[in-house]
Amino acid sequence: MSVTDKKILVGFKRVDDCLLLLCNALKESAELVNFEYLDEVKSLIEGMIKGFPPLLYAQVLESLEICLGDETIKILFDYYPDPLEDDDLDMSLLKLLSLKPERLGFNIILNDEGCARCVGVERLPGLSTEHIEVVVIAKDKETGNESERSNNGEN
Amino acid sequence: MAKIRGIGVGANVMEKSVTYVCNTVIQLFFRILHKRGLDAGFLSSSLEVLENGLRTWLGEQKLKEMHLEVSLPHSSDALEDWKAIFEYYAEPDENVRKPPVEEVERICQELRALPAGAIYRIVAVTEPDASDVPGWIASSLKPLRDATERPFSGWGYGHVGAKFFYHGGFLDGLHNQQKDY
Repeated sequence: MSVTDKKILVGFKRVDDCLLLLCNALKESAELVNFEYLDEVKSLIEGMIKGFPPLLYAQVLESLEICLGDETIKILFDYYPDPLEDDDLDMSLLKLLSLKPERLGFNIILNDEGCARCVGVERLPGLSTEHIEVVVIAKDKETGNESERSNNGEN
Repeated sequence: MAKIRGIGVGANVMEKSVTYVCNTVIQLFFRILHKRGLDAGFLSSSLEVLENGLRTWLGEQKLKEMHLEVSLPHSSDALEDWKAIFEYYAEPDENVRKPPVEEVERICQELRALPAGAIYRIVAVTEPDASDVPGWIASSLKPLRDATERPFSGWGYGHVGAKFFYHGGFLDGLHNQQKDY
């Protein structure tokens, strides 16, 4: 399995603008791997993104992984970028890979689970569908260790 | 003869300054609500109104202060007040200064717990000629009794900076930094 890092710069952008960019990048990635259930994934992405504003404002979203079979795209949220830096959300490499995943996954990685719960992360895991899984992963602030939570929101 | 062309890197510095300070003020408020055990539901559902106010008044350079005021329902006094005071610079500061999130969270941990049922509201103090923004109504701050003050490091970028303060009576053991009223 390979992981490709991407980055979205949050600090100097309006949250709505960030989420529009993110939404488009996620949809594009599903299209580029010819995911069969495109309507399903687009609807899920829109629902997921709707829950993101408080998480983004509170800066508790560390990254979002898109699991496309053997390929994972990891989008890092950079809250304090260089003001002149640009986003890196170019998904065109997916065109070069012959991926045709039967299932998709989105891993939402948090850097502060307590604060994320306070601002409403609990609504997200219930988004999983038959072909797409949404998993919330809390990262320990001190150790950096990850603890996975199942897609029904239980630890 | 060669032409020399350039692009002003400061062209959208004001926009970035406003956005950065707006985002970080809201970040601080969310972090405080979490650490003080207050329900973030009201703030989450008011983000559009809050952001519109912050962006409008910071852009006009008419926003003086933004408060997260905590009180008990029906009480005429506040329990505590978290205050951002804004500064505007004609010459932009190109250094990105981070908000004092860790400092604020550390103090929140040291404060005595709020009484059950405490609520909060967001109060903006603007210049008299600031634009009206939908969702914001005329109000006044509640007085604080026996409050002490704790200042935090300032932050900002470009044309806008901010300083942050805690005022309240829940500060035990911080006598070297507090000021009695």
